[in-house]
Amino acid sequence: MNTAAIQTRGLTRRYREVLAVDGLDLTVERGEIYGFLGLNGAGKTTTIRMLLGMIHPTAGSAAVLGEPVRRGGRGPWDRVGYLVESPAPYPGLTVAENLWAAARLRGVRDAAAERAIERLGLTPYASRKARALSQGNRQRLGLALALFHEPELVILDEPANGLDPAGVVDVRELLQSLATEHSVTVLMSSHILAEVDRLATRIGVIHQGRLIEELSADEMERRRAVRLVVEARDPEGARRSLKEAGFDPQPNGKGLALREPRAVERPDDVAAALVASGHAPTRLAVEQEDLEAHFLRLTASASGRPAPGADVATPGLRDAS
Amino acid sequence: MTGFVAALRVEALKARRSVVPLVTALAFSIAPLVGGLFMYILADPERARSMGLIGQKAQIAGGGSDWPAFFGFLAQAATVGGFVLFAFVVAWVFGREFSDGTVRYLLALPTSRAAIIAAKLVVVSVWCAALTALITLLGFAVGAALSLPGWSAGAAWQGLAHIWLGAGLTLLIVTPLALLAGVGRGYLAPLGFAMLALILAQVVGATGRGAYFPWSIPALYAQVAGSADGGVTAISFAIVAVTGAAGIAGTFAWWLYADFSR
Repeated sequence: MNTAAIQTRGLTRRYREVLAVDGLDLTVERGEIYGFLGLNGAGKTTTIRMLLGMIHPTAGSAAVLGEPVRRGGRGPWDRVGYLVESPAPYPGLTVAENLWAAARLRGVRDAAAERAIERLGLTPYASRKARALSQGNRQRLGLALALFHEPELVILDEPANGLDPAGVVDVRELLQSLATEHSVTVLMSSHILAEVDRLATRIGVIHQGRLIEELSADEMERRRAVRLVVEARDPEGARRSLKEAGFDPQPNGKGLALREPRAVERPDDVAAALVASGHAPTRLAVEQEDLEAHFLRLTASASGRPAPGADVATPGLRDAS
Repeated sequence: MTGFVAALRVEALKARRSVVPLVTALAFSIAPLVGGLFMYILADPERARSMGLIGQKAQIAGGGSDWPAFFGFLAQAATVGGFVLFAFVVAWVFGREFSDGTVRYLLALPTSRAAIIAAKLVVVSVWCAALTALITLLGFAVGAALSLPGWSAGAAWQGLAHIWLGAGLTLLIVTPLALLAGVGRGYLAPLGFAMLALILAQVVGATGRGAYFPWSIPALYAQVAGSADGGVTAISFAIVAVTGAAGIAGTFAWWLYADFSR
């Protein structure tokens, strides 16, 4: 079977005046971990709900695991697991009963539910009512409900929400093992961009209902803005000397930033120019923006406003020197 | 309907694990006990007069102190009190999915939405039948304990028929509340409508057109059951049946075609 796990064509959803999703063409290939990014209200959850048949599109179409998502249709739901927004297990049922109920509705054996309890570290809480669970354990239960039936496609909205650092690592490893060992396709939206950065094999950025960028992890690596950060005891003097040497230094916090390729590719020339003018650098580093900075720059540019922290910019960059 | 039995087992588990069935049972148990108290008071008119307000109320509610009067009281409890409790049951079974946010787990499953709705309706019906059985059995026990006069097999069958037919009519007029739970995404819309319907039933009843207003008909039936000048006709029963069918069909259609954006 070589059909895409998810394919949308011109998927559109309008709520009166608001165009929540605007002609979305999205393709998620099988086995991918697709990071679906967007600001609040960008259209992520509406898209996810349309993919799951919970909301009907105003126009366009969606197919999941090769089957069209239709109003009242049966769909491929036995092969799909999902966590939409926050987990909402039945509060009066225990962890085990919530999974038992889900197993009945999915026509899956109880053993699968028991395995999921163990896999998600919920064994000590199996007899606890869902209403008494901590936020992190509710999230684990939400993930168990999404994954226990060993789906081919998992759609997760904020999978790391509310998890402690150990939980974040557990979920990352779990999703990685599902994708690499079991060829499970994962579509995940997340606000924890560092997690998406670590996990995703492809990233799509949705803004104001439109997919404004879609690229593989390798492309992402190449496209990230790189710059040379320079600090000196006399920043003004250093700026003048670099200008005289033909560079274009920009203020960057306490120091300067140079974005032109000849500075980024040959930082030794910059250092030599500074030393020659008597403004030896106290710090010289090539920094690459992380996904967060890239995302903020992209969404700000799409909105026609400057990226937050655009000229301070040290946060969100990682040292690539 | 794919997965109906599975959906029924799940709905039964949700109901079993809730305190709401117990609360509704306790609330409905009050009816035969209060009815028994009225019968006890009315059995001795001197005592009824010395009781002041409660004596007057009891006079209004019953009139006599025998099995037919007690069955009449229970039939009214099954329709008027039953309407409030059955509405609560429907609001809980359907509305809680929205109020608790659990509805999202019911929408993209191999078990069809139709099977889930059918299972919910069966649970509501069984639950309401159990509540009716409870007041029937308690009623027999209370009546026997009071040694009410006027017992006969015919009176008992007639009493049972009024209680159960009244409860059945009431169940039919609460089905639109299942639709309202979906449209209003929670408990509030169906419970608000139930209160409004109760008020309207009083108003419409006062104008003499209660036999044509679905939410007046069961209570009117219980009130006049057995009397010659009923007012409740075959058309009234048809109106209740159509209301029930519309409620069920509307609920199925809404779940199959509505947007679940929350």
